[in-house]
Amino acid sequence: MQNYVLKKRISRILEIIAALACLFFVLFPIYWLAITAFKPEQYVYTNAIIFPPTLANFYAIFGEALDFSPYLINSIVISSATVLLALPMAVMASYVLSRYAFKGTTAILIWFLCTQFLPPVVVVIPFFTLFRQLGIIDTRISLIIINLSLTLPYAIWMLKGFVDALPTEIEEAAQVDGCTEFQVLRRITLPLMMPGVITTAVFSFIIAWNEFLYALVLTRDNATTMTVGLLATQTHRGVQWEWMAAAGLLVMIPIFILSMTIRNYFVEGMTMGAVK
Amino acid sequence: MSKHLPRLLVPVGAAILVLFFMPWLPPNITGQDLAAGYVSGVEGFGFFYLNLLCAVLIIGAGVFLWRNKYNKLASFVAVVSSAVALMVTFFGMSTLASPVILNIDFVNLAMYGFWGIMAASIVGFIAGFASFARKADNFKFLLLSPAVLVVAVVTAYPLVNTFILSFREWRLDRSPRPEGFVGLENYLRAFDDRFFWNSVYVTITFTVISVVLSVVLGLAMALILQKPSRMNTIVKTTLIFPFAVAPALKGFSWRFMLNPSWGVYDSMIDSVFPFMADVVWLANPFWAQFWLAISEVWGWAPLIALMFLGALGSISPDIFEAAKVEGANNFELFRFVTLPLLKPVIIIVTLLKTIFSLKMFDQVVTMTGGGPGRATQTLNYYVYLNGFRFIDMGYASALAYLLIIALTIFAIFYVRALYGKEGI
Repeated sequence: MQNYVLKKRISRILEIIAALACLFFVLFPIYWLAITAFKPEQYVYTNAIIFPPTLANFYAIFGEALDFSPYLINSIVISSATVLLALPMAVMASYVLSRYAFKGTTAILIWFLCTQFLPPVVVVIPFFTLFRQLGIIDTRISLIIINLSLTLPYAIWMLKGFVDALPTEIEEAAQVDGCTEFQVLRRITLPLMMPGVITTAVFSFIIAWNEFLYALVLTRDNATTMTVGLLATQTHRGVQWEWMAAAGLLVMIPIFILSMTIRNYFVEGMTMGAVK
Repeated sequence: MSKHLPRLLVPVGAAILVLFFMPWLPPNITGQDLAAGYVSGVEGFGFFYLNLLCAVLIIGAGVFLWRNKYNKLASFVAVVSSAVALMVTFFGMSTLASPVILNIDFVNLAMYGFWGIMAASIVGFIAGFASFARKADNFKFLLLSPAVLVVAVVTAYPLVNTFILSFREWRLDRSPRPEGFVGLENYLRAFDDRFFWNSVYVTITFTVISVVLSVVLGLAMALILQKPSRMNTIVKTTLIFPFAVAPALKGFSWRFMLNPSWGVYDSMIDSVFPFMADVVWLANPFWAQFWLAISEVWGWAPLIALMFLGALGSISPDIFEAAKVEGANNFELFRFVTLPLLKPVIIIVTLLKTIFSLKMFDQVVTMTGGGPGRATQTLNYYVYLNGFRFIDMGYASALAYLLIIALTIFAIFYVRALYGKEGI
């Protein structure tokens, strides 16, 4: 009997150790980046975890050594504009794809799904040459257009899942009461879709915010985003890691806050509903 | 006559647009040639008049549609022809904007023409569309079309354009626009290029390491965190964070932690395995590949764990109870009950991860820069190098298409695995 209790206790301890190992694996890189951002320079290149915290690195990347503020503004403007452009189209398209079955619905859906597997480098080659000819390389508008290739098909898929989950009875009742088809969408379905719309907006924002290759190829100075701005911490003395950590924290924090608001949908969202 | 004339305008306009512009555009045309009427084939019949003609045709189509509201064919033709006109305008404008020495008067004239035709084709487009959508059962197409059009422009257009480019010679430092067609030369060049084969090898190695580790670690984490307890709930909520970190930042932060002089992971490993103290992780080809994969696994394993946890949660506990009553031990329970039940999820997750591993790009730039030597130059990165460092667009396009072929195979399997049986 005592043997059994002992065994149980050992397995319980092993479980806790395993869970702690998971926690360490998942959180340690984030923790390390976060504390590095607040380290004074002489502590950055040590493994110290006790140090007097300082904001000097943030002052450094906002004006004293580097200027990240245009990058931050670009990232915010580009990501928001991408979301605001994609969402109305996605709402309309997902409503149709969910509610009307006609020839080609499946084909369109699979097409949209497959766009997610398109390597970005394929998209960027023709757009680079096109934007170059049009003279809009290194502008925010070019990045907004090309980011739609990532966010729009994604948002349609995501929203379709939400519309599928809504009951059709209310819409039918509204139609019986004399709503036109457009009124049904605007006054009945759209308000019911709102949680889905917000979730989708957050996901699309995360995708656009974390995007790297398009911004790397299509920008020089004017439209550089935060993720590409990280490269600016590479100076002639090598990467200034304390600046990189501070800038990295600014890339990470908004996304973490947004992810927490939608954490119940996170898995479904990040895999386009592959696993529910 | 007065009734049939406008009916003819639309198809004739579309035909003229297609015939005069699209297929006969030679690769090395300059603005001068355009001005001289080279494209239309008629001496002196320049861009400007052609534009005027198009504008008239499309406005004609608009008027016609306005008077015959519900004609399906007419609205369709109007939409198509105005779309073609828009494309032509777009092309023409980009030609003028490209760095070629042009006659200023010509540019001004042509620009007016372009703006005119653009306005006209937008009118034609809206008119055609409105007439099409008036009918009740066309409502769905009205709602669907903006998204379909935009997705076509931002994904189908690059696919087609890259495909055509892959058969052409185009070095940006020599010419501002594509040079001649060279047939399969770009593809043949790839097969002779040992750096291409190196990148294929690197991509396969990276994909295998990261897929296997992500799925195995993800499964392990799911099994660890499966039991309901307060501790596990806390750990589960943190699982979403690594995936949300921008991949470019992942590369940077792992590079920082692996630095041989001050990297925190480096010193941890050195204290556990002292014989590895001399290894400079990112300067060693094998370890550089390994850590690149780990930086990817760090993001994916927790997400995959969450997927498995979702799947495990939907399995009825009765099945496990029954197996325990039959006398199965923990290993047998895992091997003969859990694993078979998870099989569909494992297949989908493996395919999904494979596709995303083949696409991985950001960390290569921020973590290893393709080095040491060429040890971490994935195919994706090699395409980028050729396209945007060596600015050899034709070759880069051909390489990109080889990557697409590989991805397509996995994408087909993936779509089959997801929707093969029950449809969407």
